[in-house]
Amino acid sequence: MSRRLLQLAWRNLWRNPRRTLIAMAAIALGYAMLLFVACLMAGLRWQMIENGTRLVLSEIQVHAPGYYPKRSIQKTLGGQKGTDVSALLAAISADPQVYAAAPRVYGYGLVSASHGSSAGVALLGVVPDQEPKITVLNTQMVKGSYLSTLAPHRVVVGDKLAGVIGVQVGSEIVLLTQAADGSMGNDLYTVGGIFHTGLDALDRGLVVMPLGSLQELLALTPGRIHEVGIKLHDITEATAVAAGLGVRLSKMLPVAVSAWPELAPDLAAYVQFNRGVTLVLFFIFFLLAVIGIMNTMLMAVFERTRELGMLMALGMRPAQVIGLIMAEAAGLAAASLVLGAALGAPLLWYLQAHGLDVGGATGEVVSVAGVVVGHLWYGRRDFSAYGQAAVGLAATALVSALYPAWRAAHFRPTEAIRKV
Amino acid sequence: MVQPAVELNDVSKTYRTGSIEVPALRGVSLRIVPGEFVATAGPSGSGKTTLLNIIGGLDRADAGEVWVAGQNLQLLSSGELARVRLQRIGFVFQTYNLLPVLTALENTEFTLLLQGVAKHTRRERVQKLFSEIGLAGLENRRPAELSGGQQQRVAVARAMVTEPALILADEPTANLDSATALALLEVMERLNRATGTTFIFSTHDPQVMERAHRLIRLRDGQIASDEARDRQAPVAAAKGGAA
Repeated sequence: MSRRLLQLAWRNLWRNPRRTLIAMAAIALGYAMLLFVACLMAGLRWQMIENGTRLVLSEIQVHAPGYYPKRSIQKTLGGQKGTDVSALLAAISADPQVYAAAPRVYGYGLVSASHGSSAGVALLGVVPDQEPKITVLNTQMVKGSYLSTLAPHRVVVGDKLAGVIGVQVGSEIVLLTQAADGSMGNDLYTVGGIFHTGLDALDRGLVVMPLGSLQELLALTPGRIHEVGIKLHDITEATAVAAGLGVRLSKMLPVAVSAWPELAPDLAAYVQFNRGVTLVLFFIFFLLAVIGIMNTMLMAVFERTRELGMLMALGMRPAQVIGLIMAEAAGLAAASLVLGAALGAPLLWYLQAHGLDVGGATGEVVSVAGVVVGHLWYGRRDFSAYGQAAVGLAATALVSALYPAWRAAHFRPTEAIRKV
Repeated sequence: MVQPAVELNDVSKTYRTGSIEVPALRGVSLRIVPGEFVATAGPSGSGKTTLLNIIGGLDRADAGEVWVAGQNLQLLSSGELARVRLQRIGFVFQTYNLLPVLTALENTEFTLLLQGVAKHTRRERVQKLFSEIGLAGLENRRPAELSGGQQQRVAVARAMVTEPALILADEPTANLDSATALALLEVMERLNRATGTTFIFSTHDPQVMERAHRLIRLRDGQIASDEARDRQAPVAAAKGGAA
C-alpha cells in the first residue's frame, strides 16, 4: 500500500475526531488494563515462585537417584561411603548460572519438651553460614536467633510447634529418631530461635539444626548428605540449568537433579493457571474490542458509502478498498496502543514500586496454593505478555475491520454514488 | 476508417425492483469518434445517466454491445472494468465527489496514484493542468475551502490528469450558477481542443447544450435525435482510437 493511501487512511480516521477519540480511548483503556493485569499476574507468579522456593525449597535440588520424593535417609549422595561434598559443591558452584549452593540433610523424628509434650516433626540439617545464601528462613525469626556453627546443639523451631509443645527460646528439647544404621538416635538440644513463615507445614512441623548435628543424630558420616540446594542468578532458567547440571554431575557420581516445578508441582500448576487466567482475561477483552472496533469501522464505512463508490468508479480495485479500510483500523489500533501504553506506564510503575494491598484492613498474610504471597502484591515487568496483548489487540482490530472492509469492497459504484 | 471512441450496438438496460421493471435504455445504438465533444440531453428518467454508466463500465447492459476504446466492455470482468476505468476513462460527477480530507492537489493526483505513477511525475502533471484551468495557487486547499466552481474544476482536473481517451461527465454543471457553468464548459472545451480527449456529458441546461458539438437527445430510453452542432472541430490529433 502506498504512502499516500496510508496517509488517506490516517486522515479518514480523523474526519470524525470525537468518534475516533472515543473508540481510541476505549481501546487504550482496555490495553492499559491488560498491561496492569499482565504486570500484576507476573508479579504474583514471581512472588509465589520466589516465596515458594526461597523459604526452604530452593530453586534446584540435587539428590541421590531414588531419594526424592520418599526421602529415605539411607539414600545419600555418594552412597554408604559418602562422597566429597566439597568437590560436588565446587562443581555445582562452577556453573556461571548458579548463585549459591548448600548441602542439606533430612530426617523425621519426635520432639519432646522437658515437661512431656511431644510432636512428630521433620528435621532439616543445614550449614548455618551457607544456607542463608539460598533460602531466607534466617530472616523469618520472631524470637531468638538463627543457627550458628559455633553452637551445634542449638536448633530453631516454628512458632506453632513451639506453642504446641510449650517451649521458649532457651528451652531444652529432646529429638528422637531412627538413625540410618537402624539404631535409635536421640539427643538433647536447646531452642535458639523461633521462626514464623506463615506456612502451617513449616511453622508447625519443622526443626532446623546444624548439618553436622543432624548427621550425628542420624548416624551419617560427615561425607553423607541428602541434598544440595541451589539458588540461581535467574530463576526462570531453573529447568534448563537443572538439565545441564544433571548431565555434568552424573559424570562425577550418580545424581538426580530437579528444578522447582518438579519439586513443587502445586506451585508449578498454579503458575500455569495464573498464565491461563491472564490469557482468558486477554481473550475476553479482545472479544469486547471486536464489537467496539467493528462498530466504529462500520459507521465509518457506511457514512462514506458515496465516497467509496466514487473511488471504485475512478478505478480503485476492491482489494485496494479493503486495504484502505484495514489501514484505517490498523491506524486506530496503533494510535490506541501508543495511548494505552502511555496511560499504562505510570500504573505499571506504581504497581512495581508500591504494590497493590489486597489484605485491606486486616493486613493478613495471604497464602495461595500452599505458598505465602503476602497481602502486598507487587507487579513485575512481563514484556512477553505486553507484546501478546499488543499483537492480540492489533490482530483484533484487523479482524474486526474485515467485515466492514468486505462490505465496502462490494458496494456497487452506481448505487453507492447515488447515496446521500 | 477511424476506430470509434465509443460504439453502442442495440444496447438495452432494464432496472428491476421486485416485480416492477423499469426500462432505462431500449435498443440504443450510437457511435462517437475520438475527439468529439458530445452532450446527451433529455428529461429525468430518459436514460442519460444509465447511458453514461454503461459507457463508463460502471453498469452492465442487459443486451447489446458496448465498445470503448476498442474493447467490448460486456466481455470484461469487474476487475478488468476497474482497470479500463482507471486507465482509459475519466469521470466528473454532478456533486464533485472530492475526498474532503485531501487537498486539491492530492485529490487531483489520486487517480495517478492508483495507476502507480511516480510522485514527481504526478506533481508535474497536476501543476501543469492547474495552470491551464485556472487553479494555480489553490493546490493546498481542501474542498471545503473551495467554491463550487473551483471544486468542479478540480474534479475535471482529476478526470483529465491521467490523460484518458474518454471523459464522462454526469450533469457537471447542475450545481453551478450559469456563469460558473459556462466557465467550466469553457475549460472542458479548451481541454477537448488541446488534447483531443473525447468528452461525453449529460445536461438539462440549454446553455450547456449550446456549447456541445454534437447533441444526442434521449426520450424513454431511446435516442430521439442526434444532431451535429455548428461548432469548431477539435484541432489536436484525436486520441483513444486504439486500445
